[in-house]
Amino acid sequence: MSYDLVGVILFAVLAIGIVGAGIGVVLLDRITASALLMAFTFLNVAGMFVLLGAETIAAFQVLIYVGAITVLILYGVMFTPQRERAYALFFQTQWPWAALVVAPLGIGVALVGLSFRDRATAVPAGGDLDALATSIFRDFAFPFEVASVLLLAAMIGAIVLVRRDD
Amino acid sequence: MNELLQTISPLFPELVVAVTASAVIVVDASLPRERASAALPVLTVVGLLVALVGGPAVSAQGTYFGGYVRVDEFAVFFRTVFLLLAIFATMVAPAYLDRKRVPAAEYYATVLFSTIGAMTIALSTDLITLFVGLELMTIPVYVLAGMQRHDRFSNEAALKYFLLGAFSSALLVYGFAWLFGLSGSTRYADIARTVASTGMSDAATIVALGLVTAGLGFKAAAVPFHQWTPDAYEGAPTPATAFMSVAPKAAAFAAILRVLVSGMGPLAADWATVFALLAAVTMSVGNVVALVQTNTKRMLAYSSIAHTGYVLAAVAATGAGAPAGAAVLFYVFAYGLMNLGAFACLLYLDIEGTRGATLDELDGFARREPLGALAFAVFLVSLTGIPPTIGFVAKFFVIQPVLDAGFTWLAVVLAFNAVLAAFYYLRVVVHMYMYEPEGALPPVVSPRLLSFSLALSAAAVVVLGILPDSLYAWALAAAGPILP
Repeated sequence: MSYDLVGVILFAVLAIGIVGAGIGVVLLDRITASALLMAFTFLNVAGMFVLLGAETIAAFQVLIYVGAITVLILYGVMFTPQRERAYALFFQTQWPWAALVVAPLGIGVALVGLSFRDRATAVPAGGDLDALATSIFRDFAFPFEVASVLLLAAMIGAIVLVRRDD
Repeated sequence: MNELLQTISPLFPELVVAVTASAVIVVDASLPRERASAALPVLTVVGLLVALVGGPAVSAQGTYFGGYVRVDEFAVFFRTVFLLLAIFATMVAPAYLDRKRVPAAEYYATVLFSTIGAMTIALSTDLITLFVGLELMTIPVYVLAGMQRHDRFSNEAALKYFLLGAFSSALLVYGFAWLFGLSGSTRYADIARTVASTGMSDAATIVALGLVTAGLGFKAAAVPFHQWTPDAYEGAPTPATAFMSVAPKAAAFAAILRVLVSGMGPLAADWATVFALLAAVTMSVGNVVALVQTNTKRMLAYSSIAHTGYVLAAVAATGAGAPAGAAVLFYVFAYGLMNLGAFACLLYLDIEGTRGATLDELDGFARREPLGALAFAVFLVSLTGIPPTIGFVAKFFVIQPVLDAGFTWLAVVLAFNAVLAAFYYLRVVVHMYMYEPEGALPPVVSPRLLSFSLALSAAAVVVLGILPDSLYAWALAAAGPILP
């Protein structure tokens, strides 16, 4: 069995995992199950990055998405008062219309995306931590600092909106 | 130490505003409530003035941070616009914040943070800086919209604005990803080079252009991406509405000029027609719907959509060269001044909750609050585009390049819309000056700081309407760097 074939099989498994779990996230009406399936999607995406030779990005994917964001969402679910309510009735009555709008868009974008196949210029270079660090702290130092101001602003905003009255 | 100062000195205005924002929070926590509510607006305005006056002196023009920050005439122009708007939005607010128990320190800090984001957009030379700046500009504005927490309209405004804003950011960042995929770079200059060689033949360029147009169209509130605007503007606390109707729109146009005119400039002949259509639809829908509103706050919200259309017309005409770019900048400046002023005039009326005055509630307003009514009338006349106000000059500067670019039909639509707008703007003036009040009216409050700042800006609207030359010359110089 050649290496290429293994790559293709792995790709197929990961792709099915991503799409299947993604569909589950949207269609299930139990929010905890949706959250866990989303974590599973993220994990498969991390696998994709490994397949592309971008191990560093895969590591960040696991740390940030599978770790931090999923935990955050699960906490959010835990702290939200749960009531017996048919979420599905609210969110899932407009799906034919949504499908009608999204399908042509999705197919169009996918077709254009496929046209890129022959001139892929991306070089698998995500494993290089030095280059990543240089890029963040030298070239993109300014947007990086602005992002930290953004986090401060968002934190203050969140506190204003949810704090108790004294 | 010297080297550090040299590195950061180009960012002097941004740094001063960031320090002021943090200082506001700290001072609020360390002073008793009454003293804080007096000290905070002063601190905020002083910080903004230092950034405004010290900026051109300390921050020399040039490119910094390996070319990722560019201080040019364009950036300086927009910095000035954003700082002036923030000063104005701070000065009209204190009495309202006190009266409605909106947390004051957080209001000022949030306005300041948003200002930093807007200035970052003007400085950007690449998509990543632009996007981070855009988010820093908008996220605080979502918070501003929801700051009157016990008012359900304020909650609704914040949630709607947040959801649609997040959606549009996603579209925009997806469009940026396509641009990066096309050109292998996030810099505007590299993107311009790539699209100049590939042209519109590439389907990927069309996808990228479509996504970026939709994303920035949401931020600027262009039809058909405007649905969030009326509810968000109507429900937000009025001083916040005044700020969010002008600063994010100005920032969106700074982004449109940087990304589309600089980055996608070589394709201008192709997207100009789309933008001309968007402009025509935006101004017509905004004006027609504004016509049937009886609530002034909602009416002004729809009218602000119409003004987006006028600026988009100038964007569509950028093929005509520097006068079109200057028209965008001049209009954004004029619009900021008069629209912020118009919303702020509603602050004279102590209305329950966040909703604005109905037309009937403005009956006889001129007798109850002569100065406020006069300022309101000046702003409305200027928004209509009647001389001798800055609004007239701004429209005049837009029409010329639109004709030069060959969009005669768009100039006709624009003129027709200006007439349409006159009807609903002047109706408010008629209600204020010619109707006798009937029934219960909301009490009038006249804080001195509000009257002072409105008098100042109404005077500016008239003076710049009579003597627009130096401002126009500056706009012309500022448009230079973004045009190919």
